[in-house]
Order: sequence, then C-alpha cells, then structure tokens
Amino acid sequence: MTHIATTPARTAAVEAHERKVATVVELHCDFCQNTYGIGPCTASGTVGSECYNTYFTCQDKPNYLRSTKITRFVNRGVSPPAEGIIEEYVEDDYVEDNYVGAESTPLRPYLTGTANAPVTIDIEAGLASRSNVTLTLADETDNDADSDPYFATRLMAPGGTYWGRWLARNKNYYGRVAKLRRGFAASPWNFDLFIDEQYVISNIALDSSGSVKITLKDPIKLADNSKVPLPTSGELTTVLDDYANVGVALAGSTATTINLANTASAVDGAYVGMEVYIYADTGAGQRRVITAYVGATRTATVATWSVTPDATSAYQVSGLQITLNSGSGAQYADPATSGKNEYVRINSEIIRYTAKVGDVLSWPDSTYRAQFGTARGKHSTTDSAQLCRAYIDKPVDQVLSDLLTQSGIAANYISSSFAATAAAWYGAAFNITACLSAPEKASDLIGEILREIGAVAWWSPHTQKIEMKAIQPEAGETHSWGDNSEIIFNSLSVKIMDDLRITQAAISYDLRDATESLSSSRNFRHTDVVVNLNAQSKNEYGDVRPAVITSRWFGVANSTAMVSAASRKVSRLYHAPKIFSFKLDPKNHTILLGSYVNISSYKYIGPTGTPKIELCMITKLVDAGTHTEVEARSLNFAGRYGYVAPPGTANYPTNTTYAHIAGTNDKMGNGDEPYLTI
Amino acid sequence: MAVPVNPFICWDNRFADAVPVASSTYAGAAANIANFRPYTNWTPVTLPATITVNCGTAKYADCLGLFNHTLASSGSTIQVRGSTDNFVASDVLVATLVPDNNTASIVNFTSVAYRYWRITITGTAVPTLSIVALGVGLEFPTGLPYGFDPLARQVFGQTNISEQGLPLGKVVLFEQWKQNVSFNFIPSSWLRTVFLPTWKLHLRGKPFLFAWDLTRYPTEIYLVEAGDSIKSPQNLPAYSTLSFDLKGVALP
Repeated sequence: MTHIATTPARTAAVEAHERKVATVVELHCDFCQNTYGIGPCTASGTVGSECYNTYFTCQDKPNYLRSTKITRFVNRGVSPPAEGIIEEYVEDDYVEDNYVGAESTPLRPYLTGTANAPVTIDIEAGLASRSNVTLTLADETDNDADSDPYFATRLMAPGGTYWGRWLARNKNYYGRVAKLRRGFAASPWNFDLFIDEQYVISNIALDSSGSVKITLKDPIKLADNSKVPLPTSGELTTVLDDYANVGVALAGSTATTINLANTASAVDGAYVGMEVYIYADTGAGQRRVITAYVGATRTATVATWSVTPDATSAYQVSGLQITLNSGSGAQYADPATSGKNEYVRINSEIIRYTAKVGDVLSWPDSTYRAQFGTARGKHSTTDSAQLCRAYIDKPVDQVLSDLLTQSGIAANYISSSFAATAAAWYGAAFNITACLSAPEKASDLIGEILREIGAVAWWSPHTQKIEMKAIQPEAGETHSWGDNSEIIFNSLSVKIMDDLRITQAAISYDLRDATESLSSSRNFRHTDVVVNLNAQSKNEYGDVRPAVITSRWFGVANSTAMVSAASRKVSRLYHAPKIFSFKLDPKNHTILLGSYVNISSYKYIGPTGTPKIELCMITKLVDAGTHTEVEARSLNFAGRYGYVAPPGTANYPTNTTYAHIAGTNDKMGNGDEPYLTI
Repeated sequence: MAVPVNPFICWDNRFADAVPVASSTYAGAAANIANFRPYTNWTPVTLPATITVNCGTAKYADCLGLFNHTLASSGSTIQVRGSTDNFVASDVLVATLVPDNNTASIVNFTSVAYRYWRITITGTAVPTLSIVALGVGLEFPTGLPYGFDPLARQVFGQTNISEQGLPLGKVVLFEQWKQNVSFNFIPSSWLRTVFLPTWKLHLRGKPFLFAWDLTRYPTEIYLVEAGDSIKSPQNLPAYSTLSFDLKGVALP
C-alpha cells in the first residue's frame, strides 16, 4: 500500500485549483454512559451537585461505565457548520470500548497552531523517530452547556474557562486516542474530504499566555518507556549449586539405587528431587530423579536403571528447582500458560524452567541449566532471579511484534506489513534464536534487529499502524515527483550524506554467552566480512570505511543470511546517500510515508546536465495545510533488480518488473544490463 | 416597522438575561443560542419548538438577529412572541421571519417590553440555530460616508507554483472582512448616551452582528469583533467623528 486512503470527494477536492483547508483535532476521552442517579448509577447528590460523567467527578465509581466521548476543535478561520458535526460511531479498533451512538458535537475554532515534529524514518537507525505533535488551542469562558451533561440543573453559572474545567474533569487523558484530521472545509461539512492521522495524548497543559498546549505522541513512544524483559525481584531462598555432589559411585548399586561417593551428604533426604546423572563409564548417559536418599549409606533411590551403575560410574547430582522468596513467583511467566519456553537468569547462568508452582520454578533434568552459552554456577540464597525473554527459531516479524506488544502496544497497531516483509525478504534464513537476560529498553531492541536485517519500522499516522519495510527494491508502480508539476518553487534542497558511505561491512554473530558483553567481538563465534574492492580502489573513493555489526540475535544457522545482510549494506552504502528536502502542493499529498518515489529536478543532475532520476524512500511527511513538507532519502540500489515472475506473468519487455535471466554476453536480449539476483 | 436605513448593530439579547428553556433538545443546548458563538448550537427534537426565557422583569426588544442556522434550508419559520404570564393567557406575536438564507438575518419591530420572551419555530424539518439575538438594536444616526468599501476582503492562504513556475494550486485558509468604519457628524450626545454605554457593555469585548445597509443589502450581515480602540474627535461643537475597527470572516 503506497497511497493514503482517500475518498472520491477528497480526490476531487485536491484536484481543484483552490481549496480551503481545515484541520480538526479530536480528543477521544473517557465518558460515563450512565445518567446521574438513574440505575445502575446510585449517586444521590442534591440537584445541581451532579457529576460531569467523568471518572474523576464520579460519585458512584463502582458503577462507572466507561465509554468514549469525542471533543472536536478546528483551526481558526473555518466557518463552523451550524448543525455541528454529527457522526455515527461504532466500535473503534484501537480502544476497547464502544463509542456512544450518534453524536452531535460543536466544532470549536480553538486551534491556533500546530507544531509537528513528525515521524522521521532513519534507515541507519532502523526504528523511526517518534512523532511529537504540539497543538496550541485558545481558551475562553464558555457557558458549559455542551460539556456539562447536567448544565440545566446547576444552581449557578460555571466558573473558570473551558480548558480549566476540562482538565479538572478529565485527569485521565494520558494515552487516550487523538486524531488530527486534515482536509478541506465545505458546506455541508464533509469528513470524506479529510485524511486522518492518529496519535495518543501525552500531555495537556495551560501555558502562561492563557493558551493550551496539547502534546500528541505516536504509540511507539510506549516502547521507549518499557523494558523487555520486565524487571523481576525474586530471590533464591535455597542454594542452587552447580553440582550438589560429584563423584564416582561406590559398589553395591542396584537396579533402582546408586551408592554415591563418601563425599555425598550424610543427611537423609538431602538429594530428594534432584537429578543424578552418570556422565562417564558404566551406565554413562543415564539420568534419574532421586526419590529417596539415606545419608548413612549414601544410597539414592531412583527409577529403574537401564544399565546398573557400578564402582566405575562417574556421576553428578544437580538440583532441579529453585524456590523464590514468598509471593514473588507471580512475576514469572508460567510455561503452562505462556505457550513458550521460559528462562531465568541467576548470576551469569540462564536456566530454562518448565513448571511454576507458587514460588517454585522447576525443570525436568539438568540439561535445562546453562542455556544460551552460559555456564553452571553456584548460586546462593538471596541471589536474584531475573525472568528472561527468549526466542527460539522465531521469524523476525514475530520477534519484533513480541517486543512491541511487550511494550504495551496493542497488537492491532501492528501492520500486516511485518509478516509480509518477513515472508518476502527474510524467511527462515533470518529466524532468531536469542535470549534477553536483563531488562533493556524495548525500542532499542527493536531498532537493533531492524538495523541488522536492513529494515525500517515506523508509526504511520495515516494507516494508523506500525509499518515495516525491508530496504529492498519493490515490485509495482513507483510514483514520480519533479520540478514541473509537483515540487514547489524554491523548496528543493539536496544534502549528500558522505559520512554514511562504507566500503566494507563486518558482521559478528553467534553469541557465545548471552550474559556477557554484546559489544565485544570476542563474545561471538563467527565474523563475516564483505568488502567492496571497487570502492576502496585508488581510482574510486580510495578509502577504507568499515561498518562493524555485532548481532546477538543471529546464530550459526543464519550464516547465509548474515553474509546477505552485510552484502546488502555494503551495496546500499557504496555511494553517499542523498536527502531530498522539498515541498509539495496539497494535491500531491497522496503517497504514504515510507513509500518509494522517483525524484527528478534540475537541482540534481547527471553528468550530461539533465535531471537525474533518483529512487528514494519518503522518510518525512508533514502536512502543513498550505503545502506538504517532504524528506526523501535515496536508496542507492546498485544495478538492476528484478523478481522471479509468478506464473502467467507477461514476457519481457512487456512486463519489466520481473526478472528474466540474462542471455549470453551478460546482457538482456535487448542489450540492457541484466538483473541481479539478491 | 421600517427597516433601518443606517448601519445597524444587533448585540443585545434577552436570551442571555437568564437560562433559556427549550421545548425539546436533540443536540446542543438552548443556552448556546445566546452566546454569540457560531460553533455552539441547539437543535430541537420536533417542531413546533420553542425557546423561552424569563427575564425577571419586563425588558425591551426591537430586533431579532440570526446567524449560522439552517432555518432556510429546512424551510422553517421563526416567530418572536412575548408574554406577561409565561404564555398562560398572554401570548403576543411580535414578529415573524422566514429566512431566505442560512447565514444571517435581522428583522426589526416596534419596541415592546415583556417579562417572558419566546421564539417559536414551525415547519417540517428540524433546523439548527447557532446565534439568536433578540433585543434592542443599535442604529447609527448617520450612514457610512462614500468611500466605504463593504466588499473588501482579504484571502489568507498560499499560492503554490512549481520549480518550473507552473501553477500548482491555491490554498485558502480563510477570507477576512476587516473594516475601519468611520461616521462623520455623529451627535456628541448620542455618542455619550447611547454608543459609549453599549461599547462598554458589549461591543468592546464580545462579538455582535453588523449590518452596514439593511435596506439595500439585507444579507450583508457580518459577525464581527471590534478593535481595541475607538476614536471620536469633535468636528463641530455638538458633533464628532466616530471611527473604530471591525474584523470578522467574509460572507461565503
């Protein structure tokens, strides 16, 4: 999807030479569906002392019935429709509640300014910057008739101003939905002429000048404020040794017992519930859970051995559970309900547990200890147990989605482009096996993965989803913007980002120990290096610019993918990327952020002096009303790319999107350069 | 009653004297018609519909001003009625208006005082009303001098051309109607006894309806706010020149 969703009415409006723009701000805040004093509401104040149908003014909180009320504001200068705005609302995808039926709300012309720090896609950062919209609205005295459901029964006129009262009644606005609806004023009013941007409310404050500043953020902001995994505070109440006892069995073991060495505990029952594992000589490879233990004889009872141990059998006794301080077990995921492997980190050891009962975490055998390259350790009482977040052979989109939802972002904010991109460009070759053993900022983790695989993700105010895209060529039509009929006079500038150019990329992966340093290449088993010798040659750039990447997410199973990722990066940054900044007339504000466009201008020409067509990604898009501010970054795809055509695709050159293998002489049949297979 | 021949201001409002009561309300509130805000409104459930106000004591009115409504498109008629007993036995039809546009209308009538004032709306389709001003109007003693340009308007917006100079489109934010109105030879006594009290009471701080020539151009009625200053230098011993600024949105 590259076009902003629109309507025939809006399409006609933008095509008109003259348009009258309007910006509407909608705040979707909580509102009680009840009527004061009428069941289920049991409030019984005197007439005139009713609530305002908000939670913080509620006089019967147990029966408060949350729904959503929309309050609208429009920019000054727009003649408001006499009849207000009447819209039928149904359940919104993004909130859990139903809107209250049909609404007629005034369109208050309070909006005096919009300052937009928009989403900016940064290909090198992976995760786009979060948008920050600051709205300035006027405040005024107001009769309160539209805001106070019980206006008619109040005994005195309302005091204060519109916003002063609004803030006092709606303290819980944080995180509620806000929409910026940008479009054209018409009579009768028609929201089909608008396109919507969706945000969440971050802050509303009265400023010293008497205006109101409303700050809106995009939902990815939640990932800045959350940690994955969540910090946990459980501490061991019993010792967990690396081995409770190690030795060579004494003679006399039977089909259901093993006589441990004299170094074993003399306390009866000391090893009950632990595992005895024969690691060498007679019976090697067998492991059994100890069901009884007699300290005087060092005899452990187990289920029947396949091979009865003898005096040569070397064994290890290991604990199979930890008990956490009382009540802390609730912080730990239960594998029985989470549906996935669960791990805890104690000191520098990661242990997989398979069951949780109260404050006890347990595992079936000792192979569950020392996971993700860690080593068994001796753990004392009061050592903390940190819940881990692990991914075992998971597609990248699933890992990214998990990190987003772990941040508190609703799953329906995540676009289908995540799964589509993963399927098209990454597949099983990029599946992730990794373990996060300490709380880290979720947005940093997401950005890390995106950078390593060469993808970007961003909040799209227009699709109202978090979108993802691989920095790769794409099939289909590419839009074009040029000097003639799109780019506004004297608005285009081109910045060359030479500091981003690289000539080689080294990628280290296959982490040795998930609890050790992630920046040291010594903690990685593999490193692949891709070098662009042409770029390093004296005749070309003549310098060596390495990019060094260390990846905790990918292992030896991803070797091919890692080389591919490094190659794509070297190829993409062979030449310095360009940032095109310019303005568009509103008629061209039809393409979504993150889309690819061809840009041509006499301000950016080739050696012959004619405009050079540059394929770019739209990295910033700001609707300023009178125009749209755009930033687009060149993609620098080297050579020509194509796709293996699906059945039924027309032959070249009728359909030039898909690859046709080059003929002899490394050229296409018509003499063009061949497509590359990537 | 004859239509005012000189510029006319509709500012006074009996519906602001107390909380008005509507016969029914589908959207908004009856009080919204009295606040001179074109974006707050009242819509009844059914017709006929009324809004009634109890002024406490008998109070005068001689004009009805409407702004931003759907009376014309809904084919409605609006009546002004007065009563001494809250319309039990006393119910006097004072004026009737059938608006021919949804933007603005002013009708004036013989000044009369009632304690209870009411508008009654009849018709079939339910209308919406934003501003209804029923009160005592202010007619200037003289007309505006030649040179006054009632159609002057300024577009606030941006014209876009391409890098190659071709027209791309024009974006209009709004059109402003901004005037400096200046009256020559205004009786100084009128200034002191009529205009200045009205200025202090309403004009300097609140919006009002301004009709520059109700006789010839009855639809050219603007919702305006006055500038911060008035000037009234003496011309002759008993006359002054009165000038002040007006600013509003141009008519569509």
